[in-house]
Amino acid sequence: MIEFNGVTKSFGKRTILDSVSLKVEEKQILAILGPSGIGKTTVLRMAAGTVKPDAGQVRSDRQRIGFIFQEPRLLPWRTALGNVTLVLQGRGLTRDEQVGRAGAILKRLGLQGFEHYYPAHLSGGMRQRVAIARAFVLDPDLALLDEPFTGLDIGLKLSLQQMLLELLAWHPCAMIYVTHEPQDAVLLADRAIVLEGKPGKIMASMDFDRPRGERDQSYIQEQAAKLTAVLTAKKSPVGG
Amino acid sequence: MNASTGSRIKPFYILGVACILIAWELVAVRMTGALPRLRAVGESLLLLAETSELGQQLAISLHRSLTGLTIGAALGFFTGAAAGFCKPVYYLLKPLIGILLSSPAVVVVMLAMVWFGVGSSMAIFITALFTMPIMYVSVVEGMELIDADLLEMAAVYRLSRWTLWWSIYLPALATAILTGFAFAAGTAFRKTVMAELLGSNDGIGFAMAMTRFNLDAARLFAWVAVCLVVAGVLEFVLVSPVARYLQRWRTVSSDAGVVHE
Amino acid sequence: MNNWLKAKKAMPLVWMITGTVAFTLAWQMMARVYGPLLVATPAETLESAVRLFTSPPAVAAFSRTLGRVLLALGLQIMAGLAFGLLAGFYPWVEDLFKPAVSILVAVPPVALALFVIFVFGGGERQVVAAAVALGFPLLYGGAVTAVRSVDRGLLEMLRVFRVPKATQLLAAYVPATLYSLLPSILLAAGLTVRLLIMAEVIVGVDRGIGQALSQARVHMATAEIFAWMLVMAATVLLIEGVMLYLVKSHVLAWQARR
Repeated sequence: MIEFNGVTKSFGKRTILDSVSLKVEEKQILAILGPSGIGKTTVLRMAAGTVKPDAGQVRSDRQRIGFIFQEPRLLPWRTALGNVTLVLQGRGLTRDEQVGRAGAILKRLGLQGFEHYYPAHLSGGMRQRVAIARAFVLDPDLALLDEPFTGLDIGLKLSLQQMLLELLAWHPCAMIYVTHEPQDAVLLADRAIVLEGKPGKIMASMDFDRPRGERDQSYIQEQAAKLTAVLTAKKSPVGG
Repeated sequence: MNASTGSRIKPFYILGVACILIAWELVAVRMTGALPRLRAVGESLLLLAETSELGQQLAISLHRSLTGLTIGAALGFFTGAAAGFCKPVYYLLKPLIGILLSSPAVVVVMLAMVWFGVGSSMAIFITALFTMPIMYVSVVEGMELIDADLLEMAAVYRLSRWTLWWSIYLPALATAILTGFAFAAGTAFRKTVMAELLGSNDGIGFAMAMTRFNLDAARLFAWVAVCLVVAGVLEFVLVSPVARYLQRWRTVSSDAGVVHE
Repeated sequence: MNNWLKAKKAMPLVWMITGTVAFTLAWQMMARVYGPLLVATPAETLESAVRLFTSPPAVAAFSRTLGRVLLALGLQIMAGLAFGLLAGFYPWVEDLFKPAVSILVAVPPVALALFVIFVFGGGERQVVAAAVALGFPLLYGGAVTAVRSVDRGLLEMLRVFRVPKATQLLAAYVPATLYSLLPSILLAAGLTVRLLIMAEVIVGVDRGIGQALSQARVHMATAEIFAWMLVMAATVLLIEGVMLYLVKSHVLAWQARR
């Protein structure tokens, strides 16, 4: 479980987040939506513990955190396998165990045969798959995703999302998923919140009750439309 | 850039200076004969100043390095500009510049001593010879940086030669000259001192060589201190203002000033 | 301007050869005018260079100096990297080292060589130490800049995954720094050759190019001095070439293939 309690954060004179409270239960997936620069990434960093709030608390009992960034952020001088074993260092595993686990998850993500390729020799989609493998090789109890599919073309994005869904079915974990696409949120999340304003506050939240496996195209369209309405409503009062 | 380049007083910088001085004193006291005490160095420096030897030798060395620098920088500028405008010249000069950049200055000094004998003209020759490539490289690189797009734009709009010179070539060249000159200036003094040390009857380098014969370490370090002051003044009035000026519009590698020998 | 750009692509080799020929001709003329005692002719120089490579003492001097150069270069890289990483991480360390580094940069190298004689006496180790000290600021400064420009995204990644500090250092900082340091290392190779020979001449160490040069000077063997200069220029080119080759084939295997 991870919980934000009245969290406020400023950088210099600019207040980014203002008394944000949220809670993610075990194996629950929370999507955060909102315009860019609103502090979504800051929420993730606080959840990861690399940024401390100015006021309020972040309470977390999560031990193993997997993080997927918008860019793959792989070490260019390490192979795919080397990038995955990197995060297994210092966790009391032998070299063989590390390689075994990393190889298994790369295989699961369809990268068998590419273990010894350097990132520069992999395609963009493959690199992001290595990044996903790196996040899930730890058996994370909390996965943090920062717009991981932005900038990829639509086909690639759909296939990566499918892989992510399969990974989650295989290894369910709590997750915070930052995105600006309502469809993405409906596809993956149990709950979505909307950050809005300066400084950012939680302006709306929405639950998706239907189990993930049973969400068909029409459900996704319908819920995404609702979510879009919520997102645009915030901007409309001025314009009428 | 980073926090440590601000102009506030830095306690650890002062600590660094203190460490050097304390380590010096410790070595000087413990290993007698190896290093003179700082006090002795100070006294030597005072003595040099009082006997006006300091002024005389400094004037001689400064005069030589300035003359050498002027000749070398001018040569470097003209050859560099010629090479920048006309590629054949660049390739014609390439072997010469390559040899100059890879030859240890001591070797060239040996030859120059044969050519010019011992004295001023040799030191000036060496200084000019080793400041020239610095200016040359700086000007050639500066001209290479002139944006091909800008030149195309100028051609499309049929800018006059005058405008072309005034608004495209000159600003680029001015920067190159400034950088080249700032770095060449630091090199010039060091080369002069080296040339004097190996083959001259006067100047700071000669005075340093004499301390070796007289085994007068305190005096050697007094002269080293003089060199450091000269370098510091150069840095203060020339190199760092230029670097600061350049930083306004492009990042300049701070390594450039360090490559010396 | 357009013609010029076109010509730029086709010309280099032709002009480089022309340049070398013109340089040799000019040199030959100088030698004619000033006589063999002042300027050796290209032919004499070449002959002398060949003789150097067939005379055991000269070969011994060359390999001695080359060994010292490689040792000094290796030490420089290690010291530059170690201290550069430290100073890159902690600005106060940089402040602490700044006075010493400024002195090393500002002091005339010959004066430092004299300093070494005074304090530590003459000898092989002292010569190498002087070359290391004088070359150090280049790699140190490069390493400090390199550490500070390591990709922030990668660093954040290492932090959120709680990668142990030692692994962070070895897996991320050292490769990233070494990689940005490559141009400086190439520069340092040429610099070290020059510094080391300077130190050999000033400190007057046994066996080495420095001593061979001093002797050639005493004997007024101009051709031999010229030959050594040629050999040194070639050596610098060779070291740079070998390093570039090693770097391209091994170190940069991870870069995109062309």
